[in-house]
Formats: sequence, structure tokens, C-alpha cells
Amino acid sequence: MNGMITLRINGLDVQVEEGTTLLEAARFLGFKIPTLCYHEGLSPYGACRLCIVEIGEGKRARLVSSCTYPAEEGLVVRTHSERVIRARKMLVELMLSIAPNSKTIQDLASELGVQQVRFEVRNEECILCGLCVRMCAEQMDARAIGFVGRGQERRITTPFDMKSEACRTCGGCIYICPVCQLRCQGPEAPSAVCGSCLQLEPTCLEAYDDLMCYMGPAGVCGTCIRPVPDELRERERTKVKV
Amino acid sequence: MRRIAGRRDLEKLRIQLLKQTPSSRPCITISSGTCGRARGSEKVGQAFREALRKHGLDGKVTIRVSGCHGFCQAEPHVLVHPEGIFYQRLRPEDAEEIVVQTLLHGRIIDRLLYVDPATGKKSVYEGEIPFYKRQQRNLLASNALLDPTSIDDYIAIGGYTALAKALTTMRPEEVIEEIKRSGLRGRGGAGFPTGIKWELCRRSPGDQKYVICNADEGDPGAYMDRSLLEGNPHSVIEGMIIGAYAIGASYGFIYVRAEYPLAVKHVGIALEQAREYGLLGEDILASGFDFDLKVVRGAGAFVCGEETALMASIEGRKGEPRQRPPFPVQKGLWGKPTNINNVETWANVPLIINRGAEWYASIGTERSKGTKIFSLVGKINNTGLVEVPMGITLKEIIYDIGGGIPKGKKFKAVQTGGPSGGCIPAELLDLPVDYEKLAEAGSMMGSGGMVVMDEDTCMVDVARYFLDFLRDESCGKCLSCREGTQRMFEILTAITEGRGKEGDLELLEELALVVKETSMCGLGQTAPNPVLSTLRHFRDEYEAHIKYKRCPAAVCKELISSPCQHICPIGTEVPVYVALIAQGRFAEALEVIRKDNPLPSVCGRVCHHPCEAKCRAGEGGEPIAIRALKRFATDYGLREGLEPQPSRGPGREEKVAVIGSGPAGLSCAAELAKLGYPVTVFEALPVAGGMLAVGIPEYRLPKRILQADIRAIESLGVEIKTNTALGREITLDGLFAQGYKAIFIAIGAHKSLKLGLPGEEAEGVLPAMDFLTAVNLGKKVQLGPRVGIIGGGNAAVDAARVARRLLRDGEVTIIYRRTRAEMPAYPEEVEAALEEGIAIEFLAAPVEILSSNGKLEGVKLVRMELGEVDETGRRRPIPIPGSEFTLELDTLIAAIGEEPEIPFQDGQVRVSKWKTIEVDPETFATGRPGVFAGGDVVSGPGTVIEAIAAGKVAAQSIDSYLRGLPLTREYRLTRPSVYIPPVELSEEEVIQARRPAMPLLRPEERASNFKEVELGLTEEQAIKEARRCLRCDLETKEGKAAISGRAVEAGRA
Amino acid sequence: MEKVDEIIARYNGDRSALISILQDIQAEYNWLPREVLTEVAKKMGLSLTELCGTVTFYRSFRLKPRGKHLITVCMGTACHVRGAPRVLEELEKKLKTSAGATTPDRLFTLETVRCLGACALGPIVVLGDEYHGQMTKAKVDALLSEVRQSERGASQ
Repeated sequence: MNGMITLRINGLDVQVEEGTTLLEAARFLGFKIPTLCYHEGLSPYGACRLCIVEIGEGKRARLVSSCTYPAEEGLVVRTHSERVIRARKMLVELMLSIAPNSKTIQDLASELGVQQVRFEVRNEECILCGLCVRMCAEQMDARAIGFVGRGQERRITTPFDMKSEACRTCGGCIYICPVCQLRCQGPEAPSAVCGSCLQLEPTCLEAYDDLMCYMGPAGVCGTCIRPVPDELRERERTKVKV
Repeated sequence: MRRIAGRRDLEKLRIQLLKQTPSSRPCITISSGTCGRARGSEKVGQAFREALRKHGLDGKVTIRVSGCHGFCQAEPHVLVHPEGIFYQRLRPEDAEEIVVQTLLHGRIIDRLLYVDPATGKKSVYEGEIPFYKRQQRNLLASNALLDPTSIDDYIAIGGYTALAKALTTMRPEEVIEEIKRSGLRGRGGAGFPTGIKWELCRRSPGDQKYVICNADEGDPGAYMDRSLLEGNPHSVIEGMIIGAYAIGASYGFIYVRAEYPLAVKHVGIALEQAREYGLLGEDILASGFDFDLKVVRGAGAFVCGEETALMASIEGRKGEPRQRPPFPVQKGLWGKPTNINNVETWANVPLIINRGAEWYASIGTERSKGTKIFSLVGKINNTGLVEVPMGITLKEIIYDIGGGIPKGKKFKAVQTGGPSGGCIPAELLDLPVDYEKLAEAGSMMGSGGMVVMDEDTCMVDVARYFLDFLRDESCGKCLSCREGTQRMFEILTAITEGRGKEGDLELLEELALVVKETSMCGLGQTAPNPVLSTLRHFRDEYEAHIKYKRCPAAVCKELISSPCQHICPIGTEVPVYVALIAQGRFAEALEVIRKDNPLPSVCGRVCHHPCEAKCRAGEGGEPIAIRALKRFATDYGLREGLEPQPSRGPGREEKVAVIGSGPAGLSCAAELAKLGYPVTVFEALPVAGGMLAVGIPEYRLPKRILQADIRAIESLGVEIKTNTALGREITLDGLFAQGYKAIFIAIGAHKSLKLGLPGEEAEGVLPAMDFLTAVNLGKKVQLGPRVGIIGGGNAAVDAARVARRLLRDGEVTIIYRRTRAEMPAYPEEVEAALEEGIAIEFLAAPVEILSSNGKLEGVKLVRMELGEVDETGRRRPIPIPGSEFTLELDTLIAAIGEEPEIPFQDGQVRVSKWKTIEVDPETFATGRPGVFAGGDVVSGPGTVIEAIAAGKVAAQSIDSYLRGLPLTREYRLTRPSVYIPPVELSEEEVIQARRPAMPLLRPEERASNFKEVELGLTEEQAIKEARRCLRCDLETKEGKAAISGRAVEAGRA
Repeated sequence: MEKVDEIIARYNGDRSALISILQDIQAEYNWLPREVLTEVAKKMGLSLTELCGTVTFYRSFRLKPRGKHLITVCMGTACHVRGAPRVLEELEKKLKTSAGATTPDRLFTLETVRCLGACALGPIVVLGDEYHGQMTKAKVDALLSEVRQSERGASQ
């Protein structure tokens, strides 16, 4: 064997090198799989579970994290089955309840159509995806921060919560963090779901020739986040394009 | 010790050891596992050694300190060989007696024998004990035959012969084939076929292979692995060497959890001894096979029971599971093929090699072979380790081996499979125990833990408990497991604290499914099982918590406040009035009682006190004598002439008719009168009170007491018209025509059920209710001199005790078809009946009534025996053919139950096939607008307090109806209306306090009068008993806050 | 730190024996002080971050000194069903501390464990080496008073 593996993703056959993960194979084919704790430059971890796909068929079909699962000969993979979508939505709902002020997570919620958060919001701002730990260890070779504790007590910190000698204050951890990366004002309580940014209808273009909320808090003026009225939509549709 | 050179050498050694210690030699085996030691078995062992020395038997009698025999309930216990005599619950002092009496004189010591709690029968020999009789102890029996710190003991009973056979006569592939054919499946939980696992490992390419014994037994309630490792470590070691040979592994690990220090110790000793004999190390038994083992201790992480986490732990890392594939048999420890099996799986291997795959496969079911050791714990009489063939039913395990539920409580569920498993309810008890069947029922075999739960266990609390465990033990890596278990826990906590809301259960199920499907390892994937299985089988219990704010088991503290108040059908504020009595504030206590109860003096005499059944003080002690305290307060009121001063609401116009003046009718009337309505109560009999007046005899409820309560109700303005019957003097339509705006039907269930036997029409056969009513109304009754009563409930006992008093001489016999333990009558009543000289013929049922010329002569009875357990948890009585006998009688009273008599026909008021009126269970409304019903006429024969509750709820419904409001009920958390500061008890008082026995009239003094039998507590007794109350009401957040001074008055939540 | 080095040497500094090494060190020192952990990391070539992660993962490792008397309440399923939570509550109330913590006078450390495997004795409280079965609120008071009395006697 020349180390190539054939598998079927969403009905399409694809050949990949041995050692390729399902995530890489699916993305190669152009399928969009949401991820959070995955980063190309770091080892895959499988903590956020967002990248789950359904493998196998019938009663034996199960969900696995595609970022860590190696391609197998003849494997049947479905990246967007009903089970997968249902699970992804719940996972994002859980994430929102931990860190509603993360634009990254809010955007994921919008994409997946998550419209409610039925859990008490904790505002913890860390979803323990471990990107910072892996960044520090693998890219920066410092190993200054790591996981301590277990279960609900698990958190990321320096040894003994004290200033670490190994830390070179490179800022890599802050850079890579999906919660810190893009912060936003977040929604008003109690819904914890915003959906503003991805549901922008650039109605202000008419008046300002610009999307005014480019880098600032989106939706502050209130125009965009209202659903575009039908008449406006109709007017836009029938306007002659220049 | 020297190396064993080969198979023949081993056999030689075995024969030599047997000669040294022949099995005919007297031996005392002391069961001394962790449980035994916890109960003092070491001191008992010491006492035996001293006693033997003292009586010169040192050297003639062997003392063997063995591991656990499985019968934990009886620890510390000994077996006296060669007879096999079993002595239980020993103290060091008993040792000498046993040495002298049994060893020297061959006498059995009766008081140390095992007594079956159900039958009272004593067993002398181990084999007779019901607990052991139904087991098949292929693995555990050896525990009793050896000292785990002696390899010689193991060899003497045939140990290591399987290893010798495998190494010298079988090729590795043949060993694997044998294990495959036996059908052995992993005993750790998943049940993967062991032979196939070994084969996969053997086939995996690798220069170095490992075997591991998973002894991280983390499931709470499971300890069979501990017992095997402590009691027979060599059986596991032998299994591992054989497995390593078959797979081609050269090194192995035994991973024992840190909480098992004795197991670690014994395994360590066993390994050293095995090495000395050359059974571990190089060239084992001259076969050329090298293998050694090491013990690795766990460090307190349940997740390390998961294969990949366990291996990470052995490698010195965090016990975080990793994704599979690759599986351990492909890439395990340090990337090498590794075979992991559970302790019990390994222990089965030598058995299979020695006795053959066919033998093993002949035990069990089609897909689950062999025996399994279960740890039977929780609310069960015989706690212990039970080894049974697969396919035995849960019912057999729980009732025949386990001896059923203690204290006569009702079975509710059995939890199998630990935190990964589920709860199995009573309806499924006939389930045969095997891997597939348990999974189908929503649970799993798991490691074999079986936790039995009874009516006092709350299933929502159990689900919450398991989630608490799992979120604590989750490694925390996956979002789904970590956050999912936490959020499920939060939802369950909210439900148990009374904050549950609509939609919670749906959210719980949705979340549970996602956690199950997306978690990476077995912990997360099975974490939702306890929730899903309790939701499947006990959904109504969840809904009771959310919708009705009720915890039927009276466990969830924030919901129930104190169990007594919560379980009382009318929510009597028990802790408040008990606390007031404790402080001598009797008049205030009486006010609290009267506030909710319109028939307080009656209840103080005859209530069946469900509060006492749930009283926390009763858990390991005696419940508070709540009813006696209520009686004390009401008697105080009567003595001091404290008339109730209830306030009447503003006068309302609408007239309400109540039909029936029993407890349901009187309460409804009282409640409506307090709300301001004019109420008339219509009573068919010449006296008011219903069952209270005509069913319950005078010596239990004196007429003057009943009258006091009725007078109080009349003083509210309630009018009682006697000699007015429904269907005779009044009709429903007639009442509406007379201007009544609402009617409450509470005519009770006064018709005694017929026996349904030939000859029942004979003169001298009396229905119990007719008999009791006649006596209570002062009519003359033709009786005796030989009276028989068929039945076992309160009506039967009442009839018997009344008959006893009416007869000058003569015999009174109660005939009941089961045993005393199953009699539904109150135990105090049965006790009193026996004291008064009434005979009870147990396990007898009538088949024919004998008469001549239309007059009763006697009854033909047949002997019964108790058969299988039915869904109520009681054994079904079966007639013994050919055992008929006759009892000559002059009067036969039929007291097997009552039913209502509906004296009207109404198209809208529906009547069920049991002759009860059908109503909306929450509002008590019938199908006809304005007509409500409650009490025994709706529920069938019930209790006084339940009837009172029905009357009160119906009154509220009637009030809503008359105001034109919707008939919805509001449900609130149980809370007392005030928090009385607790009394301080001295340490001595705490340790010495006991429930007082109710002073009773002596049997001689009761003989032929109807004087009240129970005399009531004295003031001193009452105060002392009230002080014993644990004040559960002060344990809620609100209660704690109230006492710490932040609030003194507290309203209902 | 010689003890630490000795223990590490006992296992030949084998990386996979880390947990056993830490267990032996804890048996020696009663807990795992920061300096000791730093030494272990150094001697065994581990990053301190990883060592802390491992130590905090397992419940049996203590990062705070333990009280003189260790009281452990079993919270297994069988014990739970028989009323263990109330026994724990009583202990927390009487000792004025919570599970996992040590009393300010360093006399008692109160811990919970998820099943000792002695379910027939439930609810169980372990004091030092002794198992006390069928605990009730009253027995808790009796037990604590016994320990306190022996402490008073010892100090006299």
C-alpha cells in the first residue's frame, strides 16, 4: 500500500494520506466544519467537541471529534447529519452560557441558528479549549501555563498560581484565545444570545455609504439588528443596479 | 520455599501440603476482610488464639484468617470445620464459649446462629442459610478455604494447576480458543468477549506486550473486586499469568485503587510468594515462559477505571482518557499492545482452564455465560456479595437471597451498573440478569453493584447524587461531559429544591442525549444514564417535584422542610407544635394543631400517622411519637376547657350540602363554614361521625372525644341532620331544587365485601361493618360463643376485639391467609388483640362455610404457604392441596374489605367498576357541575387523615366554583408558618433519649368493658419526647436563617 | 530534601513511577509542600506545570497540611441511600468546617470519599484507621466527644 486511504464523506469518495484526520479530509473537500479548540499550527486536542461528525452506519453510527480521528479505509462519514447539528447547537448553547462576551462564540451561534440559552450564564470567559496551553508548550516552548484540577475545578494557570519563571510574557496565549480574540459587548441579559454581527443588514449604506460598525461594537445604533422591513427589502430588490 | 520445578513438582507439593493439614482437622475460619475487620474480627481472632491456648488445643485446631465470605451482614463470623457450623455477629467474649462448647463438647450455641428475619428460622450450617443456598459460588467459595497471605493454602486447594496445565500442555492459541469457547465476557462493565480481546492483542504486531488487571473498582457500592483481591489474590495472579502466556505479554500491572490498602498489601505478599516459588519471573514451571507483575496504586480518580485513563496513570500522567481507535490491544501502554481485564474476569480464567469451556458455557444464558458476583447493598436485609449464574432473576436475588427490604418497607428500584447504569423498577423484577437484558431495560451490568432502594428513596435525589459524583470525577477535558454534567446537576438541584419549572425535563433529556453522543470517553457517554433511566421509569416522581412541589419519598429538604409536615395529607405543622410542647407551651401547640385539622382529638387517637413512618429520628432509632403528642395536646385542651376560637369569614349566601358526616364530610363542612358559607350536613345514620362513630370501637375512639370535635364544628354554624339518607330522604336533584348551590358527596365505603363462598347466607355470618355499626349504635347482637373473623386489616382486628369484649367466655379467632408480617392492621392493634387473648390462625383461608338448617356450624379452611413475591413485594399465599381442616364456629364475621354503595343514578356522575365515584384528582369535581365527591366513596377504603384532606381540598374547589373562578389548585413548598427556636439538649440526653411506650390499660382491666385502652402520655413523658425531635424544619436555608436571628417569622414560600 | 531524593532513587527516577513517588513522599511529609514539588520536578526533568497538573488531578494528593485526626465520610450510593448526607452535615455543623477542609486548630480534617467498599456498615465514618458503621447524628456527637476527651486527656 502506498499509504493512501479512501473514505466516503457526505457521499463523496476522497483519497487521503495515511494519518490525515477526518477534519482535514472534510475541509479538503470543501465542507465547512466549525471548530474552536483546533488550530492548524498546534496538535489537535478534541476538547470543544464542535467538530464532531457522524461515522459508521446504522446502529453502530457514532459521533467522534473529527480533528483527532484518523482517516480509516472505507469509513463512511457524515459531517452534517441531524444528530450532528443537534449536538453542535447544544454545545454552542453551553459555550454561550459560559462566555457570552466572546464574539467568536456568538458568531458560531448565529451560524448554527442557536436562539436561546436555557442555562444560567456564568460569565467565566474561559471554555478550557486549551489553545493557550498548547501555544505556550508547542509554539513558544515555555510550558508556563497548564491545566490544574479536574472536572468543574479544572482551570488554566501557572504552577501554584504564582508568577512563572518560564513565562516570557510573549502574549501568545492572549493572541490565540478564541474568547479574548474578538470580544464584544455581548447581548443584554437574560438571553445571552446576540446574533447581531452575522445578521447585519447594511441599511446604513443608504445614508452613509459605509457599514458604520466595522470595528466598533456592532449594532450600537440599532439600525442593523432590526430585521429589515419587507418594504425596504422590496425596494432594494426592485432598485435598478448601477 | 524453593522453586517449583514443573507440573509434577507442583502436584507433589500439593499432596504434601494436604497431608500436613488434612481437611478433617478441626479448623476455625474467621472471615476477616475489610468489613470484618471494621467490625472487630481481628480482636475475635485474637480471642480465639488465646482460648485455644488456654484449653490446650493449640496446635490441634487450625485458626485460619480468611478474606471476606460475602455475607457482610453477619460479620464478624466464623466457620467451624469440618462440620461447617456458622456462627455470626461475634464479639471477642464469644470465642472462648465456642471453643469450649462446640470444639470440646460438640454442642451448638443457639444464640450465635443465623436467624432468617422473614421466617425466624435458625440455620446451623453454612449451607442451610438462605443467603448462601441460592448462590453458585464458583469464585467466592475459595475465600473461606484459604488464608490470603499463604500461597500454600492456595496450592493445597488446587491453585496454580491451571497454570501448569496451560504452560505445559497447551499452546497459547489453544488457551485463547478455550477462553473464546467458554463465552467469558469482561466483568468490568462493558462485557466485551474476553477470548476475542486476547486474540486481537495476540495478533497485534509489537515486540513488547502487556497485561493489566483493572482493580480500580470505582463504582460506589461495588466491592467484589476488593473481596477477591483481599481474599484470594492468587486466583487473579494465576489468571493473569495464563493470559499473558496466551497473548505473549512479558510484563503485567495490577492497578488497585488507593482506597483498598488491605488489597494492595495482600497482593504484594502474594506476588512475593509467587516469585519465591518461581511462579513469576523467568522460566515459569520450566516452560521457558518469562513473566512478572507489579502493583500500581491509584490516586483517587474514578475516571482511572477507564482503560485509556488507567494506562495514562500507569505511565505517570494525568488520568485523562484519549480517543479510541487506536484500542489498547493495538496501542496501549507506551504504545504497545496491551490487554486490560477486570479482576473478576482474570479470576475466572483458572476455573475455565481447569474445568473446561463446556462446563463454563453450561452456566448462564445464551449470550452471558458463567457466574457473576454482585454486591447487594442499600435497603436490603442481607447485605453482601452474591455470586449467581447469569440469568437468575432480580427478584430471586433481592428476595430469596437478599431477604427482602428491611422494616417492611416497599421496594422501589434497584440500581445496577453504578454511575453508568440505571434504575430498574418493581415491574421489571422478573428480568433475568444478563448483559443484554439489563441494557434493554435502560441500565447495564456494570461491575456488578446492585443498590436496592425503597419507598424512602427519592429517585430525583438519586439522579442528582450520581450527577454530583460524575461532575466531580469527570476529567474535565471535553466540554460536553464537563459542562453537560454540571448543567444537568444544576437542573436537578433546582428540581429538588422546589425551583423546577415547565420545560426542565425536556431540557434535561435534550442535554442528556447530547452528552451521551458527543463525549469522548465512557464516563461522559454513560453519565446521562441515571437521569435517562429514572426519567423513563419514574417520570411521575419528577413531575411531582416540579408541578406539585411534592417529594413522595420525603427526602428533598428544601422542598419538604420536615418530612412529617410534608407527608401529612393536610400539612400539619408537626415540628411547630412538637417544639411548643417541648417548651411546655401546650395551649399554643393546640392552636397550631387546630389551625389545619378540624378533627384534632379524633386524629390524636386514630390517625395512622404517616408522619412517624417518615420521621428522621426513626432512621436508626425510634420515630417521635407524634400522634401521642397530638393526643396529649388535645386532651390538655379538653381538660382545661380550651374551646377553639376559629374566625368565620364574611357571610356568604350560597348554601352548600354535604352528604355524609364522616371525616371527609365534616372537614369539608368545617372548611366551608370558616369561609363563610352556610352548610348543612346530611347523615343517613342516627349519629354523626361516619366510620368514626360506627366503624371504630369505643375503646379506641371514645364517643365523648368524637363529640368534642363535632361540637366544635357545629359551633362554626354547621347544621347536621341525621337520619337523612341519599336516595331515600334526599336526592341530588332535590337538593339543587331546594336552593343548594353545591353538593359534596362523602358517603364513604360502608358495605363489607362478601366472602364469595358457598354457604355465606347462613345465619350467623355477619359482615364486619354491620357488626361494628350495630355495637356502636348500642344494638343487641347475637354472638358466639365461638367467633371467627376472616381478614387481617383494622376492621378485622376491631371486630375481633369488640367480640372479645362482648363475650363473657368463648373463643375469638382471627383467620388470615398470610403471616403476621403482612397483616395490614396497625401492629399495635395486633399486639393488643393477642394480649387480650384473641387467637390468630395465620396462613389459613376459608374455602367453604358449613351450615345445617341454614345455621352456621363452622368454616372449612385450607392451609396456605407463601410462594413467590408479587409486585407489592409480598409473597403470594398458595393453598397446600389436601390440607383442609375445619373450625367450628357460632359466628363468622367477614372483614376482608369494604366498598361504597352508590344509592343513586346520575348520567353525569360517573361510577367506576369498584363502585367508587370518579372525580378530577386535583379538584374533586365530578362530571356534574356543582357536584363534588371525596373520601372513601372516591378512593375506596382509606384513612381518616386522607379523608380529611379530601374534604379540605374539595371545600377550596367548591369555594372557587361558587365564586365563578377556575378550579385550579396552587401548589406551594412545605414550610412552617413560624420557626420556634430549638431546645438545647445535653449530650447525655441525646445519647439516652428513648421513645416512650404508650401507657396501656392492662389486659385484665380491659376484659369485658369498652374503656379506652391507650391512656395517653404524662406531661413529663410528653415534654421529654418532644425534646427528642430533630427539628428538621430548621435545616432548610430559610429555617437556618430564621434561627440565626435574621428572621423569626417566616411565611410560606 | 534528602528524603525526596531517596524516594526518587528508590524508583530509579522512573518517569512512569511518578504517582508512586508522590504517594511515598506524601506518606513521609503528610502533604506535598511547594518546595518538595519543585524539587521533584527538577530531579525528574518534568516541567513544573505538568507536575502541578498531575498532582491536582488526583484526589489523594494533598496540597495543604492535614489535621491531626482525619475524619472521612463515605458518600457511596449505598451509604447515601442510608442517610450519609445527614451524617456529613452533622459533622460539618459540629466541626464548623466543610468537607475537604481542616479545622483552624488543625485538629480535624474532614473529607469525603466515594465508596470504601464496606457497604454493609453504611453509613460509615472512618476516623484514622477505625471504621465506624451505622452512623447516626447521635453517634457522630458521641464520636467527636470521645476524640475531644482523649485530646484533653493527652494534653494533661
